[in-house]
Amino acid sequence: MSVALFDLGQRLRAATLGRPVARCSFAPVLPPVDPIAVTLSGAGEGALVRVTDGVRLTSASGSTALSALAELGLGLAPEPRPLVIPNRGTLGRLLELARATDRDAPTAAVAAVVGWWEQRAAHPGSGAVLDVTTACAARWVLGVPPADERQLAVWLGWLEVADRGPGGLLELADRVAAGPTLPGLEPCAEQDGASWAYFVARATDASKPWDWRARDNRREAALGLATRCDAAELYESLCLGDPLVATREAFGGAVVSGVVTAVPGQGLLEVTLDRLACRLREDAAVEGYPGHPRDVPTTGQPWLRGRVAATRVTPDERLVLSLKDVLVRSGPPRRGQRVTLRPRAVDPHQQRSRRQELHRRYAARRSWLSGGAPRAPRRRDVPLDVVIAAAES
Amino acid sequence: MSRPTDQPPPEPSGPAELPRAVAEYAEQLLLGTGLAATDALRLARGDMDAPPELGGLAEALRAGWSAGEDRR
Repeated sequence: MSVALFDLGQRLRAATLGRPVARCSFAPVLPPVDPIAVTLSGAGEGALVRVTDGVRLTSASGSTALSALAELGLGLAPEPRPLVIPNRGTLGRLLELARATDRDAPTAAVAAVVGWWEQRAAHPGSGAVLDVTTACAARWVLGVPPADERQLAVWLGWLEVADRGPGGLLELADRVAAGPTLPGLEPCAEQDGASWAYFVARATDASKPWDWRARDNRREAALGLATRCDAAELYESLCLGDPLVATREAFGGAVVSGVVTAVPGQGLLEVTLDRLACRLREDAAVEGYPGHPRDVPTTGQPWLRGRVAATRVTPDERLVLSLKDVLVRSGPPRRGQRVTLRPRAVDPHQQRSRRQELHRRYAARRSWLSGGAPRAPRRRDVPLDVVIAAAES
Repeated sequence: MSRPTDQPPPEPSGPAELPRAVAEYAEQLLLGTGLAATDALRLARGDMDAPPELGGLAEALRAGWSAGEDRR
């Protein structure tokens, strides 16, 4: 509720000013390099695809609609090209066109690229597909009800973009990606590059014909799920490195701030929080920095690391967070010092190592994922934390 | 009634004037608090003090109001 009220404060300000208000300090998306913007209207044989690369505008309809993309040179080139779309639905409809494309059609390569876009769009932080409506809503708050922020026309109006076609999408993409990018997001572009190289090598290997439409085998599906989960976890963690996002999240308890009220021993710390909202569970790994949520450092190692030992509410209704295994750079915190705590930042290198280990284990002969008999499902109790995490996501 | 989506955003002429759609949204969110959208606006701007039981609500509104100032 508090996060919704924080957002309402932003909405009221945007409504009063008559202009968007920043939801984050950094651009939440990678700046698209050599992008292609696509709009799609109509359905079936009447589907009209309009495409621009910022220089030329092409269009095509019906079963040959994807030729509008081919005309702009889209194909299995050495470098991927990002797709800019008004919303996620457009990609779904492009995928329908791609799946219906004949394997020997002149647009078969374009269809494969659409397949790759669809795959990467499921990885938060990826720069392969820029859904401008979602990106704009991540960057700004408007003086309208939240449901209206899901409409492209609302964003075009508030950001004063006159072009209602694919050219307008490119303009919005430039605006939403302008300024410093969210720290840590650049490596996501490397992931896109690696994924593209693998996809192109597979799609063009004459010795082992592969159809991008083919269903993943069990191992690919399991690894794909791990990759998507890692991307979502990493992006969520990176967002907490944005001062405005951290300020907002402090009202929902994902980030907590308070004052050190006790240092009971070495590696121990008690912080009396400003608010009762705290999503940091017992034994959760946390990191912290001196000051308020907005004082988030953008570089370097965390100032404080530790684990949540316990939480308790005092008789005067203050929430006290006890930390254990606390390590602090530049000496222990002093009583009365203001600190902000958040879940420990996700390390993309550790994620990669974990995925490599999964890859190795899934490839092992004994793994049912690599060809053994599927396991019989078993029912068991689900830990409360898992239920809460599922409810929150 | 919501604003036509292809028009530029409205320019309210005074602090008490909010576009109707956002005022209605605010009142839905504030249901049960006894506050109207204009009260929320005054609380957010710091023009009105909240009763103690609504202190948290006012704090969240003010923080949202002042966050992202002059950043676009």
